[in-house]
Amino acid sequence: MKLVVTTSPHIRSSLSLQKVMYTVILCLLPALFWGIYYFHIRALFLLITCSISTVVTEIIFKKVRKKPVSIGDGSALLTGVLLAMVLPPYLPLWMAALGGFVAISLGKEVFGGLGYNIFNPALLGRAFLMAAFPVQLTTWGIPARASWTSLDAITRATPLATTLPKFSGNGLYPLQKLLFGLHPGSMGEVFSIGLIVGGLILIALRIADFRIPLAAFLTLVILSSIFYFTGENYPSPSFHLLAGGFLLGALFMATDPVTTPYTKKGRWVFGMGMGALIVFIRLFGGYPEGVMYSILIMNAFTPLINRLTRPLPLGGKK
Amino acid sequence: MNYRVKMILTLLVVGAFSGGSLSFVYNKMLPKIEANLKKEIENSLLLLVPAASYKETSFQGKRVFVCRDKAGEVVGYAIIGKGGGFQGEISLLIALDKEGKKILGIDILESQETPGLGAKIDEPFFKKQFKEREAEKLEVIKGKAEKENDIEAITGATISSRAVVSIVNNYVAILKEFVEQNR
Amino acid sequence: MKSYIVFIKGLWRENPVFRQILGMCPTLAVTGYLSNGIAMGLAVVFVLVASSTVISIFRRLIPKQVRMPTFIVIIATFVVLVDYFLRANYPFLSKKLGPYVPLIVVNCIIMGRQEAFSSKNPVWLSFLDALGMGIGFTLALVILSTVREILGFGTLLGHPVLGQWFTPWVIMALPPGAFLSLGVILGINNTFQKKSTR
Repeated sequence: MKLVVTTSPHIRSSLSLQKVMYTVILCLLPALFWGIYYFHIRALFLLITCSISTVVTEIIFKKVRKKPVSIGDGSALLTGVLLAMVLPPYLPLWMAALGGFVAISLGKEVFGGLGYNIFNPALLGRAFLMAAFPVQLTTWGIPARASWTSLDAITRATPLATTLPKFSGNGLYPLQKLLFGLHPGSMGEVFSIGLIVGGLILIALRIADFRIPLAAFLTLVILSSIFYFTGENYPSPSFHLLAGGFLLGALFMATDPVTTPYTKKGRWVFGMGMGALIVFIRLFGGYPEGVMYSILIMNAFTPLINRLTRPLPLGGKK
Repeated sequence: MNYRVKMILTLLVVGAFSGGSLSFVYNKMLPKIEANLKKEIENSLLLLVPAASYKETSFQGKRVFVCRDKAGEVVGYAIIGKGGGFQGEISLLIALDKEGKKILGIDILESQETPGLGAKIDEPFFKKQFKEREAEKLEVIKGKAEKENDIEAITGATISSRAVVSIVNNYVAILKEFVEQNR
Repeated sequence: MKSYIVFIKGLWRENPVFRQILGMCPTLAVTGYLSNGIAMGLAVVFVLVASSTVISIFRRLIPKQVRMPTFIVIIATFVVLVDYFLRANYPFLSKKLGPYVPLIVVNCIIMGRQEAFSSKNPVWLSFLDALGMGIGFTLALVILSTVREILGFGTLLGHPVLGQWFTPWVIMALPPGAFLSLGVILGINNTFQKKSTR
């Protein structure tokens, strides 16, 4: 029998919040381990900084507001992990800590805590950092090969940043490199295979709903194919899928149950909007990457989508 | 009927009083305001082409300045160039030497670029890159300038840098034409 | 005693920006630098005090039906005065404040004080009320622009205060920074207000 959770009324699921959060973190581990291995110890520092910063911020806010400290549910930790994954690995650590603070304070606690936030906290933290430190947030590095604990890096533009302004073919970053994460990028976004596997596990466990990622995937592929096959200087759909933050965003962020629609139809709408926005921001916007803003923009539309796609109650009239 | 007359009268008196006092103040302030506007351009001109007199003319609808020294010899030309930046319009002053071969320098007159990023186009390190360049097509490059006509982009403000260079390219071409015709 | 309260209430308890949420346009738009904030604040103090005093003097002569147009004309006169004054004597400042000086005409604080206070109260009290509100507005702008200039540029009144290590937060120099810092200040302010009334 197939069990699908949508709008109320429902039977209570055995999955607790805590279990969900830690399962998501587990599913992120392959990509995370690869990021740390590939970008060396600085990536590990980044991860630790973000996690500590989000968890500590959450504790402070709960204490100040005299609410029970619910740090054990892992949601603040997940936000920290996700934030670290979308940041450039060689970002100064104090900026990462500030991002974590903003993610939890402005992204979650001011709205009333988990379940009440409108925007994905990790992405909100990154959006703040992006606006505050545009130079550092668009400076990516590849590890200097010398030693594993070396703190030096060579700065390089990401495939999206080098390729999109003037597309010159996939030559510089062939598909295998993008799949196995052998290119500069955000710490947790480079290892495509790990993200795909982790995301599929989440969907198989029904923690993530398949509709949003699928809708986003289809829209992205169709739209980017149209540009790829009709125009001249546009990157290929596979490049769109693998070179930036699409996989992490679609599989792990756009499936966050709090900030995305809860109706089935709404989820399709959300995914389609997200895919289309990514293509348009990347190709015609001022930024090389559009995943963050596309998810945040669709987050803002979520209440509206919910309203418009709410199923009629039994016997209800329009 | 009475209150209508009162209404009209009140507005009339207030309007007349306000208009009168403003026109008085305006007449008093106008010379100073105009002098300020003129001084602003002249300060930039002095910076780029030190000369004794600047004669403004119009060429293809653009404002062009012919700069002469005390003896009346032409020492250079300048033009006010405008174009779209990252946010709003950028207006700059571009000066060429008397042969129309070399750029003497540029100065930003007005811009609404992002403070802290694009607004750096008004800082000496960026503007001085244009000094003593051949009046040919310039190109923006990220990182270190290598070729003769490379202009280094400001980190984080490539679009603003590109906007300035494209305005410079456009208006240098116009000014060169003017120099050709007026030599 | 009463005149003291009339003056003091605008400073904090009924602060036009933090308590009444009025005059948001200049508050958000020109608080990138402390110097801009102070200049805008002083311009508003002048317009507010001058128009409140004038309107209070003539309050019995202005018919109720046309009070709004009359007020606006009087306010606009003083605003244009300030604009000319700045353009003639402080061209640099006038350029930085841009259209926000002429826009003082439609600043709700000014019209609000005429409607709520000076059209009904004697000259001395209207003067004090306008002065208090104007200074309260300036105070709010100073607080906001101090935060934004320090974080957004690492400077205060153009002087570096944070040293070389500091990376300016570009967002604070941009419009979102104004919304963010205003929101945070309002939030903190409300929290305290709630506690003190409880």
